[in-house]
Amino acid sequence: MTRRFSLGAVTVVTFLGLWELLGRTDALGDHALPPFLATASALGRAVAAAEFWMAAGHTAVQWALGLAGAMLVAIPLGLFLGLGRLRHRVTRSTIDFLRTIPPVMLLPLFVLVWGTGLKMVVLLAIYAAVWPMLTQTITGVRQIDQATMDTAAIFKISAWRRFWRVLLPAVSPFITSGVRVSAVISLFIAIVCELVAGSPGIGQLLAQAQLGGDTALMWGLILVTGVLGVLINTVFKTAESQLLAWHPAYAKGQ
Amino acid sequence: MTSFTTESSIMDTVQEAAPSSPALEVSRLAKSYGKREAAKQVLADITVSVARGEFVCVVGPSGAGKTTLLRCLSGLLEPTTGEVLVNGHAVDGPPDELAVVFQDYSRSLLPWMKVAANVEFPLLEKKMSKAERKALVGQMLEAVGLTQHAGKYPRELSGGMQQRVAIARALAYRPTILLMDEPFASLDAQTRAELEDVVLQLRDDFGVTIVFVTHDIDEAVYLGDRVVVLSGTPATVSEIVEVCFPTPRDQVTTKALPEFGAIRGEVLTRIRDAKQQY
Ligand SMILES: Nc1ncnc2c1ncn2[C@@H]1O[C@H](COP(=O)(O)OP(=O)(O)OP(=O)(O)O)[C@@H](O)[C@H]1O
Ligand SMILES: [Mg+2]
Repeated sequence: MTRRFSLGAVTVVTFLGLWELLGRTDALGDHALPPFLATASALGRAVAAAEFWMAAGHTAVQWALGLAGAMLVAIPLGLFLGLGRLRHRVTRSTIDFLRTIPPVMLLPLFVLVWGTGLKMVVLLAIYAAVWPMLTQTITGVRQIDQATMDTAAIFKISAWRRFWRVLLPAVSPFITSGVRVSAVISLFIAIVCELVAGSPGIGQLLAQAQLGGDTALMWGLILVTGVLGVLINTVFKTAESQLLAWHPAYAKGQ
Repeated sequence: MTSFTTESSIMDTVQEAAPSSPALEVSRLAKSYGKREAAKQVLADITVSVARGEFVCVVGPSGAGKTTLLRCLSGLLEPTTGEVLVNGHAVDGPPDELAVVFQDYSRSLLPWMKVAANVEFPLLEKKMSKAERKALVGQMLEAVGLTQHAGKYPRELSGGMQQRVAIARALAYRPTILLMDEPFASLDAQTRAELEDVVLQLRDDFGVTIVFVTHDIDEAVYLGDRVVVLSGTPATVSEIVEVCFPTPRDQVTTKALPEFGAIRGEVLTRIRDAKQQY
């Protein structure tokens, strides 16, 4: 544990040191990469202003609504489609086609219909975040063991319990990994909308910093976004290991 | 107190069924998988009747159709032709008073429930108080020697222990008929002998009718009141051998009886004869 921690610390320090060096020597040219310390101080100034926190709040709300909305659509729909062989066969190619369209391509269309406000961002985030959870849930249902369903049938388990205590737990490892991927996608879409369409949020601050030629702040905000992504992933992974304590992959001591 | 309530509930279920009918009646059952040209017939013209409280073993080579037969008996699979009666009632779908210990026990336990919860789960559908349920689960786990492991997940147990959980779950359900599909096939000889005696003991304690599939002839002769030999493609009942040893049976003395060797020999001959015919 401590060893892993110190190894991580060494990696981070080396990385930041390298950044500082590349920045000072202007390795990228055009002052595109300011030194790390300059970036940090620009970020420090930004963080002290209320504007940053308002933007962060917008991004957070859009992210959360996008993810929650996608969960509400994808999980029930995935269970429904996965449970019927015909339903699954009929919809599979459509789903495969739709999910390969990069969601960002739909941004102009969404802006045209819903403008650049919160509603548009959330809708696009939902659209983008639905796919991983939907396909994972369907896969999860399809792989349920016949033995599990036979057991439920033999012991005459009621439909209610069959759903909550057999089906859902059996699919849960697939759902949670889908949710983890979708959480990052929802954040990504929120920030892209802010950046490209000018919806309020961290992405918008980034666009403004770019227009104002403040490269140090730009890098600072990129850093913030990256940290947010890692944070989300970590939080969801931890929650997952709590929820799936029964699963061999999360067995204690592994 | 607990033993009183559990015994009385067994009596209730037994009395509900028509008293004169056998526990299980299979008449002219045939089963094919697939449709039309692709159809593959697995079972043909199976007729067997199992009396209440009887222990019937079904033997036959791998792929003969033993699991298929059991799935038809349990209402999980619809026979192509013929009929199955459980306690006098035609089977369509799993009957109330029947439980199954599946061949693949490790997959039939629910991995997200701890041992006690797995045993308790089917009981949630019955009209029982929480206290009654807990008492019954405790009693059954004790019967299979797993009291200390009640709080573990199935994956933390060995194969033999998982199998005991499946047996405890089936028995806690209080079936009048228990179907067991090669339940001990993947266990070591020692555990196997132990569990064989556990099942015999439970049969004596609770008066359950048992149909036990195995490909081990010694096991079939040791456990069964009768041994049904399945063979051929499609499989038919080629022989029913009566086993008449004194009860209670004992791993050492019963297997040392001269009759044990004789009956074992008879079953073996029947299987060989049946093989030569095809
Ligand atoms: N769902 C199915 N669809 C098509 N064929 C099947 C199906 N299940 C079983 N079979 C075929 O039916 C035959 C009998 O299978 P079954 O599982 O009943 O045999 P078994 O006697 O239980 O064998 P074992 O001792 O190996 O468990 C086999 O040839 C098998 O391939
Ligand atoms: Mg089988």
